[in-house]
Amino acid sequence: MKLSSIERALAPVVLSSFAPLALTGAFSIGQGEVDWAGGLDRFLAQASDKARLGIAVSMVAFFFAPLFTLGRFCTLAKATVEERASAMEHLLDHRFFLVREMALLVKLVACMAMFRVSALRERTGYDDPGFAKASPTPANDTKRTSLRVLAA
Amino acid sequence: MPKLMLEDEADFVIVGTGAGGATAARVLSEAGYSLALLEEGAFLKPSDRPRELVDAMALAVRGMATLATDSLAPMPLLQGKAVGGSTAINSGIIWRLPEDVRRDWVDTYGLGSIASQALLDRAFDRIEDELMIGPTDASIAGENNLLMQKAAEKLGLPGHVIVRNSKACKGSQRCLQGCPNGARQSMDISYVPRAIEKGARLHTRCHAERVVFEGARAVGVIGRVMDDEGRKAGTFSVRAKRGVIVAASAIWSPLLLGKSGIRHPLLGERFSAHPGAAVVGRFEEPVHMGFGASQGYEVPMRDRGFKLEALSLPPDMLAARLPGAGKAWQQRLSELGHYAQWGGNVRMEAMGRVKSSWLDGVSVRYEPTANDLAKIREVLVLTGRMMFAAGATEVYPGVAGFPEVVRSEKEMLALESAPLKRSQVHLVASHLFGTACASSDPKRGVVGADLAVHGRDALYVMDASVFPTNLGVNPQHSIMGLVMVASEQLAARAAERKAA
Repeated sequence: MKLSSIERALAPVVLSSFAPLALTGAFSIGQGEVDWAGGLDRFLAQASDKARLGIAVSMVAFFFAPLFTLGRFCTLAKATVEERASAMEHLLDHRFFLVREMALLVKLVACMAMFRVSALRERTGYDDPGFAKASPTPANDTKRTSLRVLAA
Repeated sequence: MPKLMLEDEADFVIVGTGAGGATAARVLSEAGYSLALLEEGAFLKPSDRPRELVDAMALAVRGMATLATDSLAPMPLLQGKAVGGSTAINSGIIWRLPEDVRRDWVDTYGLGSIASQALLDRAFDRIEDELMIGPTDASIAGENNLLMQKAAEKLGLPGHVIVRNSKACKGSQRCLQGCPNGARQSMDISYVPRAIEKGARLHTRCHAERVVFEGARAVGVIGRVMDDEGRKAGTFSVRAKRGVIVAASAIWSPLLLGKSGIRHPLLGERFSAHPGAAVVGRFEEPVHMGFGASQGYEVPMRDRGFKLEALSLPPDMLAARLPGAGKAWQQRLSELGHYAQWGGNVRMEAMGRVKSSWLDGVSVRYEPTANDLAKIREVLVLTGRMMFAAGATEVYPGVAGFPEVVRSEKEMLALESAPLKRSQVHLVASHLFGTACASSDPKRGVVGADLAVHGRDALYVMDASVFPTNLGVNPQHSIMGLVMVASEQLAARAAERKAA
């Protein structure tokens, strides 16, 4: 499944709004470092019908989110970086469950697109730097066991 | 372009290669019967499993885990879609069928002929031996699990190291994406290859649409063959000389049976699951979730109706779970190695319904009761307390209307007194069962004690759909044990008929 032209155009604006700032000393994303549309495309290609529909509607609605969060006619594309992040926070904290859940799902898609880039993953300190070198030899392949049955 | 037409014939046709279908295949192929295994997903070698979550899930997780219950507060349903089914994406947690549940199945549902203690113990012993089942080794536990152990010991909770079906686990923390080392003994690594060695034929990308009957007897399965993109590439027709075994999960088995003309008031009913919620905590010392067993420590609270588990997440999921957006969130992302996540699966009393639908092919209705929500609240509060006991500086309970960052146990305890609404929590349901329940009484079960569909010949259901009640523990081992007994009995009956 291919993204519609609208989804392709909105993906970089909406998905990058969760982390639009380059902070000194903190996690930052370089210009053009993440293929936002590619990540969305990969996700939607296998997502359920309901999720595809929900994300398509959300991408458009979220693009216009500053209308409600700032109270003036403005899209995410025109808002400042602080306003974009604030709009996403507002959606993640919305009083309606479905809005919150869709914002969380879109945030997850954004994270999936981000962490397809190995350099970004490395920047977070998520992995144990000593793991690759240590390569522990586990012993549980020799420890077979019979499980006890859980009593009532 | 010419369409693919796949035809085959075997003694038994098995739909689905998860814990149920693969175990049946392992037993029947060993007994010398020819088998055709039909699997909707792909066969993935360990080296085919990408580290990146979106690419890994696209290959092996049904609908990217976005298939959800029908509700104003939908609950995602987690299922595998590849050879091995959900065993190829789970953490390989192994629990025997709890004794109280087993006794209820025997006494209330008349399942003594397959669920006697002696029969199940023998099956469990064999499976535990074959799948190298053992406790998670301390050398690959990882800090996320060790911190939970520390918390349980501090609070005096009945925790223990998780027992898994794993051989030489290296602690890659990629259970969900698919073990890159082939260490987890999921069905794609263990029983399916064993059956293939014995002559079973595996047909992947085959979506079963209907069981074919001659009179009351099931004689085959027809459906469509899919290409890599999920588009129809052709059709298949597989003839069964001795029987058809449906093992397509608690969601898809009842739908296939319904489309095949099976009518029973309980078909698709009594759906149940173990929905879960999780809490994330920040620690001063590094946790490095990227190393360790994905799930290596648990605290079973069966008397309270839930089980707490450490659950390491891939970085994408962990990042999405951290609160906020913008500067504060980016600051948290830069310290992604300092977070732990633990959660709880609840043995819900609610029961739901599965039926076919034009959207996604299925509609699942399943709503937690007030008691279930009380258990979820207890899970969140206790997990939060454990986080602080282990030294967390911040905890993120993930409850709407409650502070998104909690900095003390006292603050966490405030959740205890507040009523929790369904719309306040994000739940994910795994461990799905009950939609073609077994009972020796045809009025109380879709299938009998031999797991054969009541009123039909040579049609069997061998997956978690047949569970009459909710287990309260991870179901993979119970599925395998029950199916091992049932398929051994099926092989013996078939041999008797052959001899006659």
